[in-house]
Amino acid sequence: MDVKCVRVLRSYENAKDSERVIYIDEAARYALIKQWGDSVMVRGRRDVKNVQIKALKELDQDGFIARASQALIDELYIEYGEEVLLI
Amino acid sequence: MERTLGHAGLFRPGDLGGVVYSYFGNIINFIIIAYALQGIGWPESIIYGRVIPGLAVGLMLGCLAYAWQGYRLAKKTGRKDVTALPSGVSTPAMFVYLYGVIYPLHYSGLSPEVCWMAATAACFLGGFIEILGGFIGPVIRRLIPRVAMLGTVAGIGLVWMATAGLFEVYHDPILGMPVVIIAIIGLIGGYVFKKRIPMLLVSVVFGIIWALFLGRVQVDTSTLGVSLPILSIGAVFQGFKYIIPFLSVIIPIEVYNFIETMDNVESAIAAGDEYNVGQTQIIDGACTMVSALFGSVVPNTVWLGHAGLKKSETGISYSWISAILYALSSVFGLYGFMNSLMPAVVASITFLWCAMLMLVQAYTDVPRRHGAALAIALIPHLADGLYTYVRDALGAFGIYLEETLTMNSSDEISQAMINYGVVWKGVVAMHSGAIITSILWATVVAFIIDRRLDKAAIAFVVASVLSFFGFIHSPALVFGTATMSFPYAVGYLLAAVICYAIHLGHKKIMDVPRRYDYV
Repeated sequence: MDVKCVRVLRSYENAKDSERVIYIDEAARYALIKQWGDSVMVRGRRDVKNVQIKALKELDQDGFIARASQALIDELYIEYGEEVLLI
Repeated sequence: MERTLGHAGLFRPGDLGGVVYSYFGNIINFIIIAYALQGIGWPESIIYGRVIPGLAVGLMLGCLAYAWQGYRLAKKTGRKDVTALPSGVSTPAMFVYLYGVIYPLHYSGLSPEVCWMAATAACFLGGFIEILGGFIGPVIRRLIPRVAMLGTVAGIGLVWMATAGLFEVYHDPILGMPVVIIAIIGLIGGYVFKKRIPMLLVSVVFGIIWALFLGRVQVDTSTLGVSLPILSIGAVFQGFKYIIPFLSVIIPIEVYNFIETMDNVESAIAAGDEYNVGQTQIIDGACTMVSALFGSVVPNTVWLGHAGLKKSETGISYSWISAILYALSSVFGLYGFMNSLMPAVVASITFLWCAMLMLVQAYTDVPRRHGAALAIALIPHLADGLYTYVRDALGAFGIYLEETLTMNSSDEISQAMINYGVVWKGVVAMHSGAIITSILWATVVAFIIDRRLDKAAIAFVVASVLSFFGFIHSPALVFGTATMSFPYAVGYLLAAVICYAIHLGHKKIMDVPRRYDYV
């Protein structure tokens, strides 16, 4: 059962603010998709199920970060810069 | 550098370091068990003819099963860097079985033969409880925060492996310092020889040669001989009638044992090898039951240290190589000979390295805000370590804590300690069920950080129930209001009430930010 711990920053400018998507690096995305498919549970202060995982832009790939929309961050009850677990 | 071995192709030079860690670490426990049983007059025919071969069968099966799990994982993921889980004797469970079951059986007047039968029955039952744990382990894992599991593994690593490792170095600095510094330069500094020889292997080989040069190795051939494991099903079933009074000891220590397995598998998952928790617990239980049928008296478990082995490029092969060594040890009595060849300080370097990795992993693979939960998870293990050192120190003078000390200061030694300012009552309370206490406290603190006081209250209620029945803060299962653990049950319940009351009322009477940086 693979688990990833990632630090969440704000989402991309062209992303919809209401979407339930978390952007992570390719290696983590590949490992999670193999285990769970293209949606995962994200554990912040609250748990949010069925969050879609997408790849970070190339610029961010080596940054050890994730990006998520404000709506998802609110649902997780965290703030920018805090870590979440992807299960 | 990898040499292909079957489809998984996982024979790696780092496997030799894994053998030193797994095999040589475990044969120390063989020696402890043999000495402890000799101390109550068990004949050599039982110790070396039944118990040690049975123990070796269990560990051999455990190693083979974990190697099989590793190969399956490698095949499933297509990776070549899979590390097998290390198999071993659970050291806390070993001491509880020796001093909480076997010694009392001996002092109740039973002959060594009958004691051994009862002990094999206890071990067999313990394995069955571990198998049951395989069905509830995955559920528990989903309910509690990850920091609670990794934190308790880090605590065990800090207290039992890191300290023991460095203490050995300081016990013999001329032998130990060069070995430890080579290991640290390579493993932590990243310095590596041109041919990429694993530095753990370099430090171990150097340590053995250095010890030989200094004359620190005395070869022991006294255990050599031929002894085949004997299937003793009848003995196990005859032993059951003697162990009923000890169920209150066997059940909690086996709960402790299957939780230890769950923690160690979580640590392996965090290191990148996604083993199945329930399946591993069932393997542990089955191996323990089979080992009991061959005469063993202590249970198997997944050993700590997977993360360190993985980082030092250990693969899967070390597991089946260790299995072969256990088989040879069992049949030819090699364990004493092998133990004498490996200076304790050299084996302890592998312990120190694995423990450091477990601590680092616990901090890096969980959200940083959970750092306080990790810190509190370490403390019950410190109590466990303190208790063990005091117990062994007094034992050297013929005073046995399990017989003489109580938690309510009613005996002379406890009272003397308290008078001298030693907070002994707290140490003993935290020592009993240290893993569970550690998980519960880390869970509570993580939930508090995550603004889930309702869940923290539930965790305290669970702690209260476990205390009330003596699963924690008591050396055996108990029941009622006049027990050692009852005050703790009350304390946890009060804490639960406070958490829930604040959870209900905080929106009206408090100002709680979503994020609060306590450091």
